[in-house]
This record gives sequence, structure tokens and C-alpha cells, in this order.
Amino acid sequence: MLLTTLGFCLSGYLLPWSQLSFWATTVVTTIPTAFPVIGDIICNILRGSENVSGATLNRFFALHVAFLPLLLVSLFALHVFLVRRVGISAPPSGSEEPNDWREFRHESHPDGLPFYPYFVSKEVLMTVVYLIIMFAIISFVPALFIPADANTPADPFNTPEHIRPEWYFLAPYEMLKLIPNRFLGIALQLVLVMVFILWPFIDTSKNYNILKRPLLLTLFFVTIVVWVGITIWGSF
Amino acid sequence: MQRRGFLKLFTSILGLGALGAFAYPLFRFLLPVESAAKVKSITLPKSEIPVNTTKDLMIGGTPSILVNTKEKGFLAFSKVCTHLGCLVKYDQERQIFICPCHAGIFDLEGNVVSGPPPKPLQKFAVKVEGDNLVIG
Ligand code: FES
Repeated sequence: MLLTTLGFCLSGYLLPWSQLSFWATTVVTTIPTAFPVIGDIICNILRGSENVSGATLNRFFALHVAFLPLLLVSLFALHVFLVRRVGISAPPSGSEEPNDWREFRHESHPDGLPFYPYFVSKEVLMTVVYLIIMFAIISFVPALFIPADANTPADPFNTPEHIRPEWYFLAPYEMLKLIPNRFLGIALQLVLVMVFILWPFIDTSKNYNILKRPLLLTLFFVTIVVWVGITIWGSF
Repeated sequence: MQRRGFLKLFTSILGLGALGAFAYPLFRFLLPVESAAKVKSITLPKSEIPVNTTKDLMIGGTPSILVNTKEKGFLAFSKVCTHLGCLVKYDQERQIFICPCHAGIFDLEGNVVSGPPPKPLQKFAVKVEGDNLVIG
């Protein structure tokens, strides 16, 4: 779901067709070409033409409004299904007995609060608060989070000076800059992502408490520290 | 043929037809569009590019740059950085090409001086034919 959200950020970024978005998309769609044989094919399919063009804009729009929302809803459904099927993790301070936290058992805990209506009403409240804030920003201060550069129309013949991605993509950006081999730089990032996706299958410890899983804890903190460090480095 | 068998076959064909009707436009949509016929070479009067100036060109669909230097004469390169496709800029004073995206630097021969680009800039042949230049 995190990766899909990043996909939303990326596909939505091109839609204003500004200098920043055009060149960010050029860089991102060139990334697959680091891989032999299939790289050029993927790049062409992503762009829909040799260079980033109107065809790319069409594709990214379709991706943004049709494909990714479907994917996100499907992943969300899978997530809820897995929560029901496998249960949830205990909080770090939680019980030693993971099963205590895994399901709502109305028969054995009749005093417990059911999801509906208690939690649903809380979530609805939070959603409404979020929508109020978002619509207020869109209606009254639409430029609040938009950098000035974002209003410069795309010019395919001129890459702007000191171009830099948004903060959430600064770490991958800086890694591409630091690692001299393009293939290695990209492959390393893919491996990192795959390790996190496959982690539940690699580390099959039965203990749900993250504080009692030293390997996961170390990996988690090392990654966060390195990620934040590279992000700060990339911002200078 | 049994009624049940016929219905199965009929619905399968209908299903396949519906799938095809959905998949074909999707496939057409995803197919990269053919680019227009490309200009492979360009002819320019020499007088358009005095010494120590540059000119941006489009050669074979590639954004390119023609440089006229005192020492090396006319040189033409693709501006597309070989790292991740940004367009390099020419620094007249230092006589180098700089990529604004990840700080790749190329010399006046197009070779990589520093930064992450894996190979030199694509170079185009420049021929002087009388008062004209033929590039590409
Ligand atoms: S795109 Fe030129 S250095 Fe990365």
C-alpha cells in the first residue's frame, strides 16, 4: 500500500505538466533502461513514445485515476481480509501471548467494544475532519504546499538548474547520485524494497512483539537512520 | 450437443469476446506511438554559430547542441545525459557539459569527467561544406 501511494505521488506529479514534473518523469521513466533487454521495452511502455510526451501524460492520468485506485482498494480489501484471518500484531508493550490481541471474541469478552459502531464512528469523524481541512486548503490557499517552480510550464528542451525531487524521493535520488554504477544503484534500492515486502516470509518468528525480535528491530532502525541521513544529505 | 454443454460453450465464447473487447483497446492504448519521421542530419550556414557560441538543435529526434570553440572548432553532441536522460548544459567558461540532475560532468569530447553517467555523450559528425555545416 505504501508503494502504491508512492505510485500515486509519481503519476500525479506529471499531471500539472510543469518543468519539475516533466523532468522528474523523464528521470523516473529512464530508470528501467538500466536493466538489459527488458529495460527499453518497459521505458517505452511507460512513456508511450520515445520521450516523455502527451502519450505519457495520457498513461499517467489513466494510471492515477483508474488503475492505482483499483489496486489500492484491492490491497485494502486484502489487508482487512488478512487482519480478520491472521489477526493483528500486538503493540510493543503488549501481552506475551499473541493470541490475546489477535481477534475480537465477543463470547469470551462480552464487555469489549465491537468495531461497528464504535470504531466506525471514530473513523468517520476523522475522515470528515480531514475533508474539512483539505477542502479549506484547496478553496482558500491552493498554493500552500506547491513550490513556485511547480508553476513553470514544461519545456522539453531545457532541464531546470538544481532540479531535485520532493522530500519523500530525496533518498533514492541521492543514492542514484552517490552510487556510480546506475544498475547497482537501482538494483540495490529494489532489493531493499523486496526485503521489506518479503520480510514476513523471511523472519517467521512467532513473537509478535517487535521489541523481542532483535534482528527486525536492528534492521528497522538502521534503515530509518540511513534513510533519514541520506534524505538530509540529498536536500543540500 | 447437450443443452448444458451448449450453454457452457456459449457463455465461454461470450466471456472471451467481452474480455477481448476490453483487452484490445487496452493493448492499443499501451502500445507506444510511432514517432514521426526523423531528420537525420541538419545543414546550417557557418555564420550562424560564431566562435565561442552554441546552438541548440534537434537531430534525429534528439535534443542536441552545436558548439564552436576556438581550439577544437565545431562539435556536436546529444544533450541527453547518459545517466537518466536529463539535458546537459554547456558551461562556456570551463568548457564542460554539466547535467543538472545528478551533477554528471562531461568534457568537450563528451567523455565523462565525474558523476554517475555510465558513458560519454553521443557525438555527431560535423562536416564543413563550403559556407555550410552538415551535422549528423
Ligand atoms: S541524469 Fe545526468 S547525471 Fe543523472
